[in-house]
Amino acid sequence: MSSNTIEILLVEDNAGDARLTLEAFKEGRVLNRLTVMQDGVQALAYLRREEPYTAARTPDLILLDLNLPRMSGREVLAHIKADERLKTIPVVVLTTSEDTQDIARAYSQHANCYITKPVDLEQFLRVIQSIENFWLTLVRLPSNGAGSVR
Amino acid sequence: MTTNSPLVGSYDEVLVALSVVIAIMAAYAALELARRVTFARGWSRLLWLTGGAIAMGFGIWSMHYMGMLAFRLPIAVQYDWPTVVLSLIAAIVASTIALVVVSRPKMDLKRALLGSVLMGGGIAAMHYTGMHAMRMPAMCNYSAGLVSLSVVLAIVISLVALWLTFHFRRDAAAWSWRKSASAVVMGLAIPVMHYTGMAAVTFTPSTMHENLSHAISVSSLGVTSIGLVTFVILGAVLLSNLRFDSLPTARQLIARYFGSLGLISVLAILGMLLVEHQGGETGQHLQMALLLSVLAVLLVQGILVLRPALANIHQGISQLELAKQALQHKSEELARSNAELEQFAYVASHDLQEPLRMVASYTQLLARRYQGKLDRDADEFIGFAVDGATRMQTLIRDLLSYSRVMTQGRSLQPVDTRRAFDAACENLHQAIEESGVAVSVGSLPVIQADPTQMTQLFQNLLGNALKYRNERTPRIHVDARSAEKSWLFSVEDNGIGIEPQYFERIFQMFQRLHTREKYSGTGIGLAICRRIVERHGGKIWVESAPGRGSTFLFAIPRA
Repeated sequence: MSSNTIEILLVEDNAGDARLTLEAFKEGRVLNRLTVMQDGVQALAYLRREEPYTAARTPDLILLDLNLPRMSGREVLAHIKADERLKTIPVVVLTTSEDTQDIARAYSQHANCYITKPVDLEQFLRVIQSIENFWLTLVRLPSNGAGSVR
Repeated sequence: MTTNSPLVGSYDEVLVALSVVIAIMAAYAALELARRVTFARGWSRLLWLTGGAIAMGFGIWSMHYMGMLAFRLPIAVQYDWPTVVLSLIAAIVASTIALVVVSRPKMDLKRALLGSVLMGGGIAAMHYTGMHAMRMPAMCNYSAGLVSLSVVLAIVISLVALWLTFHFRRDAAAWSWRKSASAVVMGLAIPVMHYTGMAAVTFTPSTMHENLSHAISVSSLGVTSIGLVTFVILGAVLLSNLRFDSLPTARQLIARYFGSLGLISVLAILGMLLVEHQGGETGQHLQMALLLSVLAVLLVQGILVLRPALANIHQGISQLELAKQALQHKSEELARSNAELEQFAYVASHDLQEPLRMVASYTQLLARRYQGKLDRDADEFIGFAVDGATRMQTLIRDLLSYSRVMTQGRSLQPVDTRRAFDAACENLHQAIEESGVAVSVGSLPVIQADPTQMTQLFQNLLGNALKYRNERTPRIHVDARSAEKSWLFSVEDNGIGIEPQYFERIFQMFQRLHTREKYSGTGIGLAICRRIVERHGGKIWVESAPGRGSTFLFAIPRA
């Protein structure tokens, strides 16, 4: 795995959605590795390199669903932003919720952006492409100093 | 003191008048009683027959006595009371016969003749028994011819009375002209018989030789009492069949009420005239009796009319109360079930979205990755799957927005409808550009509304105008004008138009006029429009001619 490979953590309980996101990133231009965690507890364990994720790499970007089993995305977000080591990692809230309260709360918890998953595949692909263009290409991330183009 | 020249009698006009009034009342009561006896069964029939015969017999008897007392002789006249009672019994028997005859299901000539002979005979018997009760220092000489005439008259009058009563017994109305007219005819006929009978007698003075042990003299007070009791009994009959369960019976009540008021007035006038005649102490007694009689009539009215009326009103009110409660209960139930249904529709359509998104996304992904890489059948199958999933998504999205009109509506606030219109145009930006439509707009007001829903309303109507265009250059004009109590908005296009028979149907759920191939859509758009307009307390409709275009109009009440 090249050091230029972008590490993405996707926290998503729906396997279908996770796979769809994976497929969407596959169509992108940026070399990336997508790791999927299916609930909030797992995701935090992964980020903190707790058992069994001691070999986990710190992700460059986190895609976080809000409605998760065991620990909700909102709690996960609060934990990440309260953790000195993790809070610099950009968190993109990617959810089906259009609720204005969810949006407001996410930003007040320092989410880096909030995106509502489009229903339509084409639009979904475009959204993932936009995430890639913006977060993986355009912006400079603290982890590697610069986006890398394949 | 014995002379052989006959005594010359005179009639007291007041008492004659009273006797005629009693006769008419008795006749009217007879009609009423006949109806009652005819339609009553079992014990009730027996009760009506007995009570009716007594009331009617008392009426006839009373009329007769009034007539007797009206005849004034220059000598003192007393009455033997057991004979008087006997004549009353004769009257009651005659009445019983009459009621039995008229309450039969059928009446033929034989039966009618037999009945009238019996009844007329009874009345004649009553009359002459009554005359026989007279105790005075005079001899009664009967003229055979006139006596026969009076008996024949009694029978003929009975025949007429039976015939009239039999034919009008079904008339349940308290007051009908037919019934009243027959009562008057009968009531006038009875005194004719009576006064013929009176004329048949000549009184020649003689020495008193009869048994006077049971004789009583009848004072004016006695006359008044007889009159009063008669009025009360006959009045009770007239007022007895009241029911208050409908408007017509309420009218009957009023008719009877005024009828009895009229009777009281007649009674009062006659009483006053009597007082005039008497004067002195007897006059005072009479006035007292008059007052008591009016009170008695009022009491009877109170018992017979007001008590059941109050009971009925009370019952009516409690029924109304119960109905109100039931209605309230129902409407609460309805509101709850409606709210549950709304919630169900919302949750169902919302939760359906998630699995459907998977189906749609993966069929689309299949199409994207494998279109043209498998065989033609596979391409076609994938095509159908994608199309079906997409359509279902649209359907669920529209259903969701339909149920959101009620469940997620915002409170009404001042909305600049021009801004709502602009927002709708912005949302339809692409479709407007592609169709090359010219959208024009007049000045739009600020109204009390839900801003999101107003935008949706314009968007749906504009979307339809864009969709159902024909080969002409499409034009859409949106305008609003002030109507009496509301703002009247119009969205006018020059598209394909709608035939009049569909004007109502298009606003219903899932009603489509075209195939999906020709014009896409779920048939929910206008249903949403109607729901939005109705939520604002307004109304939506369409004016259109096929091929000429459509104008959708909606009225929103001013705040």
